[in-house]
This record gives sequence, structure tokens and C-alpha cells, in this order.
Amino acid sequence: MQHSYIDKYAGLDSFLHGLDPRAKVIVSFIFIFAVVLSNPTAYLSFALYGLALLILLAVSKVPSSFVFKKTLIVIPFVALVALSIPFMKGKDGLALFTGILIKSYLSIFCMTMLTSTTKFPRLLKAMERMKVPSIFIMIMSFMYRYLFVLIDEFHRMQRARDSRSLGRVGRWDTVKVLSNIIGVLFVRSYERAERVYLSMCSRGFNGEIKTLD
Amino acid sequence: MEKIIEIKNLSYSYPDGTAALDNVNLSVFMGDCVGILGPNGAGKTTLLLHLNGILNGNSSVKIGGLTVDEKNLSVIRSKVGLVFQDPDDQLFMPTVFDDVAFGPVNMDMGTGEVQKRVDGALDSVDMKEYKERISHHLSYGEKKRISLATVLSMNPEILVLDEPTGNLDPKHRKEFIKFLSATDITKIIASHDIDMVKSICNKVAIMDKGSIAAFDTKENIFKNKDLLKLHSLY
Ligand SMILES: Nc1ncnc2c1ncn2[C@@H]1O[C@H](COP(=O)(O)OP(=O)(O)OP(=O)(O)O)[C@@H](O)[C@H]1O
Ligand SMILES: [Mg+2]
Repeated sequence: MQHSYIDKYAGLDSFLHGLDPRAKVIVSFIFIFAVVLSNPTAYLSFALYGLALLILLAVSKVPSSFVFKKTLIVIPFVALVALSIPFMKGKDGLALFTGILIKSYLSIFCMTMLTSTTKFPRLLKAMERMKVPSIFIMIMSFMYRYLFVLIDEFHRMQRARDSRSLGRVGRWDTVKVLSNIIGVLFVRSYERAERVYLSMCSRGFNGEIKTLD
Repeated sequence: MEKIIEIKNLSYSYPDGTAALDNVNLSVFMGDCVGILGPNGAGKTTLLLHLNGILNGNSSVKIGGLTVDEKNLSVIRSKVGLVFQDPDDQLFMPTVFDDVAFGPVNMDMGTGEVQKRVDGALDSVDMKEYKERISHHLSYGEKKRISLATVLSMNPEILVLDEPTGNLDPKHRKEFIKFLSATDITKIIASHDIDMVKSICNKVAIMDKGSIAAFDTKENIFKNKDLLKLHSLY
């Protein structure tokens, strides 16, 4: 179907793509820590961090429009949270707000670079070898696998609705139908989870997560 | 001959009260290939789910002499390879390799053995080059074939397949049928694909409204046109 995948460009061939995923994970986390822990008004270092990411982006051959779009998608959520900050602190609330905005943007940018230069399954394998708890890896791998099934299902239902509504939908109808779709989607996901669990049990799963090696 | 599956007076109702199975009796011998035909909602899937203890009606199913219950579950699940109707339920790992390896890994095999099993299983469904592929990028038919590989890698004694040829293209449907007729594992196949059942099964059960309406050799069942008509199969 037509949605873009998180790691759509992870199959490219560049210096960044070829690096050991473990190195990339470690560097990304150090980077994010450095960003998060820096002073909210340290604009010079923010600029340097941003510059470093832009250089990496250029090296990686990943289309910059893809990365910028991906990073922008997440900003509204962060902004919504950050919006409450100016009201909390009297004096330097606004500075704190811009600080948080920049910091989260840089962090998301960094994560986007990581996921668009490393195939997700390899990322998971790397984390497994770095002794990340297996339950955490299992959850991430299910997220990766079923996010797309869910999005596909959503698109299919939307299309089914559009093809039956003859183009005469008011805004209120849209809201009503949309909430219906979300409800059905929830039930379907719940039942899917049950069936997937049964299918795991059929292949010998007994609650203990085992991995190769 | 040795009786490998024995179902006696099996009834089952889903938690919401839907009576899906009503007094089912069925015996399958080693090496049999049993086709289960019947209209939508007849209870075919429900019956198959009893064969490895996913559903448990009234403990009246025996596999290789073992009663299907809590304490025999792990032995039974390594003997019975069940493939679900929807491949998105069957394939839950990020890559094809991880999925086909899931069963062998759970059976505590070493790395070398697991690799060998995965290669063999993928080879038999003509999917060897797909090892590193990501499951959600595959076509429906490809997912169906990999689904079969996920249980073949466990070397089961009984293959239980729910609607295996749905959405396969003619070439792969033919290859699939050829592969199934070549293996002498005991097989139970629920399907609407009457031609497939005709060409690979030696026995046929007709299900309708939760019970077995007829169970006989393929020849006897397909000879009986009145029976087929009665259950909308002809
Ligand atoms: N999880 C469930 N909860 C309640 N009722 C169910 C559930 N699953 C199936 N049923 C009902 O049980 C009956 C038998 O369903 P089953 O899925 O076994 O049919 P089937 O023969 O496999 O049909 P199909 O050919 O469509 O796959 C149907 O009436 C169905 O509606
Ligand atoms: Mg079914």
C-alpha cells in the first residue's frame, strides 16, 4: 500500500549505512543525552549539533525532504506538550519553551537519521547483542510488524467508507464515521493480538522469549 | 495402521455462546491426507484449532495416543504443525528468517541446526531468496507460502492447514499441490478448493453446521452427487 515506511531508505548504500548498527545506536544515544542535558539557552551548541546532523544527512544520501517531513510530523505533539511551559514558570518560561522545542527537534532528527540508515530488524539485532532486555525488543518488533498491518486496515476501511458515501459527507459525518472506524480498529487489533498469541503458542512459545545464539 | 488422530464426541461453543462444533467424531491414520470441505461458518477452522490444543472442548482429542491437555501441550505442539488461515497472524516477526526460525528456536536447537532447518523449509516452498526480506512487504501469496515454511521448519508429524491455496497464483498453486502430494506426512486440510482436495487427499470429510455430515474415501464422497448437492459443494 501507499504509506511510507520508517526505514524506507535504509537499504541505500553509503558510509553511514555501512557502519555497525551498534556503533550507530551508541552514538545516537550519546548525542541525544548531550542535547537533552545541555543548557536550554545554549544556542551556539544547538547550532553545532544541527550542523553535525546536516552533514550526516548529506553523507547518507537519504533525500532530505523525506527526513524533514518525518521530523516535522512529530513536532506538533511535542509543541502541544511544550505549550504549557510558558504558563508554568514566570520569568524564563519562553526561553525554556524554545529550548525544549529545539532539543526535541534535534533528538527526533537524530533518531530519524538512525532509522533511515539502518534496517529496523538489524537495529533490533544490534540492541539484542547489546543486552537490551528481550521483552523490550519483542515489543518493538511487534510494533514494527503490525503498525503497517494496522495502517493498511485503516486505509482499507477508509476507502470502503468513501466508496459508499457517494462523496456527500459533511464534517460532522466525517467525525462520526472516523470515530466508528477507530473503534472497530481497536476491536480488530485486540482480536488480532489474540490470534497472533495463539499462533506463537502453536509454534512452541511458552512465555519465555528465546533468541538464536 | 496406526491411528494418529482420534476425536471422540467433540463439542465446542465459543465464549459468546455460538455453538461451533456439535458432537464431532473423526479418526485419522498415519499417512492419511484428509480434506475438510464445507460452507463458510461450518466449523472447519474451529475443528482445526482443537488439534493442537489452542481450543479445548472436552478433552476428547488424542494425538498419537496422547490426550490434548495442559500437560501434553508442548509435545503435541511440536508434533502438529498448524498454519492459520490469515498469514498476517502466522507471520509475526520482522523478517522472514526470524519467522521460519521461531519454531526451531523454541525447540532449543543449536544455531547450525536452526539455519539448516530454515534453509530446507524455505527451499521447499521456493522462497529461498526471501530469507532477509521483511514480512510486511510481501504479497499475500508469498506470505501464504512462507506461512507453510514456518511449520515445515519444525519437522511436524502432522500438517494442519487452513485454506492453504487461497490467493495463490496458478503456478504456485500447482507447485504447492505437487509439494503436498510428495510429502508423506499426515495432512489435514480445510479448504474451499475442491480440485486441490480431489488431487491430493485420500479421504474427505464434509462439515456442515458444526458436525461431520460425511467422512469417507475421496472416491466415495465425490461419487455421491446428492450428498455434494445437499451441502452446496456441487
Ligand atoms: N472467536 C469467535 N467467537 C465467536 N464465534 C466464533 C468465533 N470464531 C468463529 N465463530 C463462529 O463459529 C462458527 C464456525 O466458525 P469457523 O471459523 O470454524 O468456520 P469455517 O468453517 O472455518 O468457515 P470459513 O470457511 O469461512 O473459514 C461460525 O458460526 C462463526 O461465526
Ligand atoms: Mg475458516
